[in-house]
Amino acid sequence: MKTSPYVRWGMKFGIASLLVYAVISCGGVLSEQYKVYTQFTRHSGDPISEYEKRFTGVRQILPQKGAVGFLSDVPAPFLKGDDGRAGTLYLTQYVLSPVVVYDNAQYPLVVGNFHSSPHPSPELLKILRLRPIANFGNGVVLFKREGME
Amino acid sequence: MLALGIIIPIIIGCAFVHAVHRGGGLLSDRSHVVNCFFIGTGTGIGITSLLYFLWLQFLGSPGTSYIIAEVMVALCLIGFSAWTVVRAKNSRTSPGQKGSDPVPRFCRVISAGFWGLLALSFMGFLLASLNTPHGDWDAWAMWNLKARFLFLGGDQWRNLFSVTSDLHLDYPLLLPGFIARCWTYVGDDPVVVPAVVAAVFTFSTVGLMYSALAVLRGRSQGFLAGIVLMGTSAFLRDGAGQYADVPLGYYILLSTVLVILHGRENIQSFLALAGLAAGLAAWTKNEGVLFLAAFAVAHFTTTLYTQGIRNYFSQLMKLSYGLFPVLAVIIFFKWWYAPPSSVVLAEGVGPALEKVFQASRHIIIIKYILVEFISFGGLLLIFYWGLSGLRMEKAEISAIVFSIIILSIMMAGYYFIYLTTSFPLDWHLGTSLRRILLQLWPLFVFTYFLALPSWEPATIQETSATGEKWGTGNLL
Repeated sequence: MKTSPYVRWGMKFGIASLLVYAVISCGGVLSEQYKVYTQFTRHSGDPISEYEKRFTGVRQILPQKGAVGFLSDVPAPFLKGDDGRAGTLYLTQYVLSPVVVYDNAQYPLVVGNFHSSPHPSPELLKILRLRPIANFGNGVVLFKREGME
Repeated sequence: MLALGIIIPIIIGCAFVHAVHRGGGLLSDRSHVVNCFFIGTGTGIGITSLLYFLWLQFLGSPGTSYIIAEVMVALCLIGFSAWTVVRAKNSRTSPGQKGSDPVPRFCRVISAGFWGLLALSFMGFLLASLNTPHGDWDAWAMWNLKARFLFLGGDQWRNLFSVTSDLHLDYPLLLPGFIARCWTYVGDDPVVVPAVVAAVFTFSTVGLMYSALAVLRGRSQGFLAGIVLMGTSAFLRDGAGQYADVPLGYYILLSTVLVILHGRENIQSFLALAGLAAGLAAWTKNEGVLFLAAFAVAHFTTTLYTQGIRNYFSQLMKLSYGLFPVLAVIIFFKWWYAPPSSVVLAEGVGPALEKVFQASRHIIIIKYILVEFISFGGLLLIFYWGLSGLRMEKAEISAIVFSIIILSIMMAGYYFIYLTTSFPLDWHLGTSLRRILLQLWPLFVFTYFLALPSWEPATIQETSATGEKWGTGNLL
């Protein structure tokens, strides 16, 4: 296909524009990620890995497979909006898998995931018939449900 | 071991592509070798993901025996592939070496820009992966969670289907299967594996885009398309965020490229590979099923119009060789494990029909689509088309129409899903539209640069000029 010199110059200009746009866009991603890395990741790691560390203790006690119940108070600090409550459950499910985490306290073992203190009141635990069997001191508590094996 | 876990599927994929093609011309020049590599990468990942799932299903938790079996498959395919090369050499006269034309200086500028940008994107990707090694929400809540069940669950991996159904248990298992397979190689579940898999898919999409256009329209056109793709910040971010939309975009691009290459070079085996890639798209995400439908309609329409009904059925048969094995696994998975999808017509036909006639919903959807299109750099593409004299390559018209039909049907499908969604419309669009459009973006950019005038002749045009005939001695 024959192209006029005007069109070829136009295309050159267009290609240069595409290239500049791509460099700015790509550079934007790089600088944004670099900022996050220097301000947060380098010092405190990524939030999910940190979250996962809280469960190291309970993972060692829990059986390798099977199902547990779940009790929580508020969303994980870095999950915002409506997704917070569900997100806390999903995150707990993620870090405890392949153990299945159900969103209720009707299981022989119940994992508590609390971000506020005090942790659930003795009255609530009495109603739910839960007895703490291991408290890891970081908001993660393992409960046993009375009357269930 | 991780390196081996990534290299083996690439070897399997490349050797498979080469073996299916019986060596016929795939390695005839550098562009074709690169193209074969990027076709083989996704093909190999898909095949090994399927094998892992089937092993898990019928033979139990995969261990060392699985790795040995996979290495044996790789060796057999390499052997067969080498044999086809020797056979093809004996049965052909070697094409005369074509003297390479001097590369225009501006093409070198484009090439340098591409490589520079590739380095920049790689660094951005690396940092983003360090910041979110578990990936973004969808990655850890769906794909990596499922991969953990497949790998750590042992014989009780099916417990995966007992977790909360909010986590899209109906989604197929290409990514979780492949990640779990890599963890089997490593013997542990480090978070670096999903990040590496995400990098492979992200940069393979760029590589496939470049190599396919280099073969079809010349290297500078391939470089430009790669530049535009890497310049889409959402592509890099979501790639590093380990979203499955990037792998799906890769398979959508792959199957379309293979059909177009078949049309141009008349290599029958490409049709079987295209069918396989289309099946792997459906094995990646549920949206891949919509792609399968769009792909079938586009193939029917263009083949019927250009080649008649007889050729259509002959091609359909070849497509099905690649598609049916994957489709069988998908149907098995959907039948046995997947709960019904909750996205399409969740509220029933009546309320959905009511929404179709609400003008405000149409306005909101169109507004969101336009905003995303602009944020992807769409206006710049229109600007560049204007500077190119608003011309299109007439020789590519059937390939362009084929791609446009696919893009249109998929967009129509997504539009309808948003229109009738039971979720709040703003929330649904705000949380998913960018990723949905990202699935189609590589194919859109590919089609755009296929249609626009190029700076240099394509490899295929060059080889045709030498009188070299391809497609002899094909398996299919």
